[in-house]
Amino acid sequence: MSQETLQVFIDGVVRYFHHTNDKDVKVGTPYLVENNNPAAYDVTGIIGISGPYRGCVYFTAPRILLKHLLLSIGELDTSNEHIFDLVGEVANTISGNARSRFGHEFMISVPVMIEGAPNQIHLPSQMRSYVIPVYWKAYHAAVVICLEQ
Amino acid sequence: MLSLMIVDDSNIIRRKIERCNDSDKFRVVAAAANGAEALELFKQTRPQVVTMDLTMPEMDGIACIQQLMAMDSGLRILVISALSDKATGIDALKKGARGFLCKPFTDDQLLEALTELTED
Amino acid sequence: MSQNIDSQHKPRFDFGKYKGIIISVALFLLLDASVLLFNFYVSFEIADDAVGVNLAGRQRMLSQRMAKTLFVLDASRDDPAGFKTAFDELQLSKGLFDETLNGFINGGVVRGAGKEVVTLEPVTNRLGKDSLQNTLLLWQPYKSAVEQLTTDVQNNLPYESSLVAAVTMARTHNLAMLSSMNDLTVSLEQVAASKATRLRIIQTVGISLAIINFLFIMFHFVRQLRDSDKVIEKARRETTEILETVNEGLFLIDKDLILGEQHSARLVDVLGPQEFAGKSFQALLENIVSEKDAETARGFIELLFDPKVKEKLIGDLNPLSLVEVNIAQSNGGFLTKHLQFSFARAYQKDDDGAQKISHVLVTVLDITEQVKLERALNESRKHNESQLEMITGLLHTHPGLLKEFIANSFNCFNRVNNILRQPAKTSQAVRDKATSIFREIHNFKGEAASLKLDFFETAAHKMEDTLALLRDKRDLSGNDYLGLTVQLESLISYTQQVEHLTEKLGQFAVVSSNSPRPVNNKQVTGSRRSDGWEQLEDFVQNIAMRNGKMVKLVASGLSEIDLDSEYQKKLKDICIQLLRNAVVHGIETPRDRELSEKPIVGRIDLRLAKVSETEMELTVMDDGQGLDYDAIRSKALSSGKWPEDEIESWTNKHLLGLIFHDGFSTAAEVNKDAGRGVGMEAVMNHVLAQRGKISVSSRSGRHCRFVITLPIVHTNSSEEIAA
Repeated sequence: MSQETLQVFIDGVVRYFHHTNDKDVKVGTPYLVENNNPAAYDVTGIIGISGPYRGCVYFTAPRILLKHLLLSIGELDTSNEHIFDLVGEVANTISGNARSRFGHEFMISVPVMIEGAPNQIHLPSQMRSYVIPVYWKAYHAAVVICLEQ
Repeated sequence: MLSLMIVDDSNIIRRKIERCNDSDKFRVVAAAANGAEALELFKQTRPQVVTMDLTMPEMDGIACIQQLMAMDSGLRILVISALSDKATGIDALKKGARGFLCKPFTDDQLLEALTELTED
Repeated sequence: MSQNIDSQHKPRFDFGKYKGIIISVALFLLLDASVLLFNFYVSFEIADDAVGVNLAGRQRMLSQRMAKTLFVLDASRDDPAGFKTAFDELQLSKGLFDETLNGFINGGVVRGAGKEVVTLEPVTNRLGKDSLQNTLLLWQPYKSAVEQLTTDVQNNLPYESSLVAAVTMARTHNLAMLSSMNDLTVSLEQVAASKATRLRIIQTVGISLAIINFLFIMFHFVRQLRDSDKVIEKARRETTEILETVNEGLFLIDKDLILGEQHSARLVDVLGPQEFAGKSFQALLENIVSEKDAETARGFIELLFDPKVKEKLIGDLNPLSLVEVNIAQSNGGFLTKHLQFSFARAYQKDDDGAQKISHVLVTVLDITEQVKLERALNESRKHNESQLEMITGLLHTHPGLLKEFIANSFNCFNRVNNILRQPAKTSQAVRDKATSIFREIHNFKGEAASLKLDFFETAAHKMEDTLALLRDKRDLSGNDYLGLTVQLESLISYTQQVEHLTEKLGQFAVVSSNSPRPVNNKQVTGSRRSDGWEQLEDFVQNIAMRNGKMVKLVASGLSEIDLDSEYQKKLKDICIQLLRNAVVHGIETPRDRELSEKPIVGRIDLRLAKVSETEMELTVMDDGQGLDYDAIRSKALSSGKWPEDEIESWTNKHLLGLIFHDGFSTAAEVNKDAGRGVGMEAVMNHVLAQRGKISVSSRSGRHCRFVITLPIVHTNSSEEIAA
């Protein structure tokens, strides 16, 4: 998978954080994980990708980050429902960015939100995923990209 | 025996199509390397059948088909082109060509296509 | 392929088929109409007859009244008022009677009961005529007598005699006249009754005929309809059966690209459940193919509706001959299908019997399995090819060494990945990662080079390039490492393929050597020591060749000391680094050596020797040009890291220290073998970590010698070292 393709998804997340009050988001050094041991925090928003590349991209973050993020965008209700909505919104931003960059060539599904790590349906176990850490305030989150050609 | 004009900028293709002289159905009366030349030769030789390449210098196939059809609406044109862009091929047929043969082709395929083109 | 569908959509109107039913219905209506007409006519007649009967009845009443008034006149000669009333009534009755009688005999206008005027036809039946004749005979004298009386009374003449005469007339004629009028009434009633009877008969007959006609229509045509319905039903069942069972998605589209009413059951499986009938083809293609392809498809179908275009000659232009469809699933994933659309003209005969393109038959086939199979085949062919390439690249390497190399590689990759994984929020921490990873990759490259594994070496070299860019980049961020991670991933994938291949080859070796005991991976790696050092010879020759040098390596003592494997690996890394330096920087080119009157083939000595129970000494010495202090000095100057005058004042010993400095190399350009300046630093770090010593001696134009003293670490104490 090309670096450019990966970058599009990373840009999507960064773009989302740039809409918040605290724009100081940092991207850590990308690394790899085996899919049989996927990386995930508390809440995960997954989008499915199809076309020249297929697989999934997900944004995963700890609850505390998401609560803080909700507060920073002026949402005082930090219930689970809102947390899921927020993750969905991040995932939507990622897919929107990807759509505008890749055009019709790629098919991108609507986000699916889950607790914890995605299962086998989304992650072929014999593959590796790219984990791109995202640092926001004192918290860690990540974009994980698993695509095969 | 039907008179045939070849329009193709590749002389290899032109020579290949000229081989249908060997059949007793078609006689090549003109061979043009571009659209402009084709129009000129058409006026002189008035062929019944034309094989037409689409991508050519000077005047491309689509424009050439349009002008040829304006001169002779009953003209039978076979587009011979590579399949890189189907939309262009379809466009050529909408302008009046009646058939499409994909490059590369064999002598038999060409003859078969020309025969089908000129039936009825 | 061309279908000829005899469509039932618009059948031509077939008069012959419906002639029977039309005639029958017309007959039925005609019959009904004539019965109705006759009914009208007769009922008018009956109404007229009824008037006649009424008037005839009135004649009876009038004759009675005339008689009665005459008797009243007779009785009231002394009562002028009563006389006058009776007289007027007599006049009226006489007038009406006479007028009506005339009407019955000759026809004419008569005053009716309610003073209205009615027209009477002359009575024609015999009984009526006779009775009228009788009445007339009786009435003639009666009338004269009454008229005589009238004249007398009106002229105030004595009327005694005429009254008596009239009363006498009434007495003698009245009864006979009454009876005659009665006969007339009866005769008229009879006529009317007979007409009514006739009407009833005709009505009965007409209605009966109509019912028979209706029943005929019912039985005959219903049967015909049922028969033709059966035929249609049978055809429909057959069509349905075909549509239910075919393996393709089938449907028709018309000129406006609208789908027909029917489609095959399979279409739902192929394209997913939806309402097909009446949908536009473009809407169907939405979400299946790109807008551009859908547009091209529309153009293509329009060509099919153009009768001038040869159907057989446009098949190649079908843009939907192979379509990849991605159907979104509820779990967020996609189901990928490969579909094949084919199009064929469907003809219909028009009124002149000429064939006309009415529809295009669309066939949709799910060819996912075929495509997958084909791809798998291609994939495996490609895979085989690349494996073959790999095998040729690996064949020269000892399988044991290769296994060890692979294991080491994975360890290396893991370490690199771990470095990447460490959270690093300061830019310095991010930058340090490049340096750490560089060391790992550099060692890996050395090892790959020593085994002449070109692919790995090249890949590592490229990663070094990336890392060098990272190290020099301003405002380095984590994101900048993305390219490196991608390179790492592809290197891991490749290594996995190699591993997979060597496993297969290993199995092959086991089978072919018919070895009594299976070769265990661990054992293979365990037996590496004697071989492990041998690769250094290859490594040196390899580098020498690439750098246009001729070198002879003289090694000794390398296998004498039993060392921990990790520790030995480190030692080997040091050897590789020093040997590389010796070849690249030390040994001169054969031409230079010739000019300096040295043997053309340079010599490198590699010695490992125990100096005590706990210490060993590694010596690498070459008979090359010696350390080039001027080159080191000018490199230091060009690096700009130190002030110029300071460098000028440095002693050779100080300059020597620089070669162990991070990022310092005197090689003119960066290539696989030299120029990164990391190798010597890595050597130094390792030696320092083990609390060893390095000493360097060099004589210009003669030699350069590195002597490294290290503690001996035996096999069983590996844990300590690794930590």
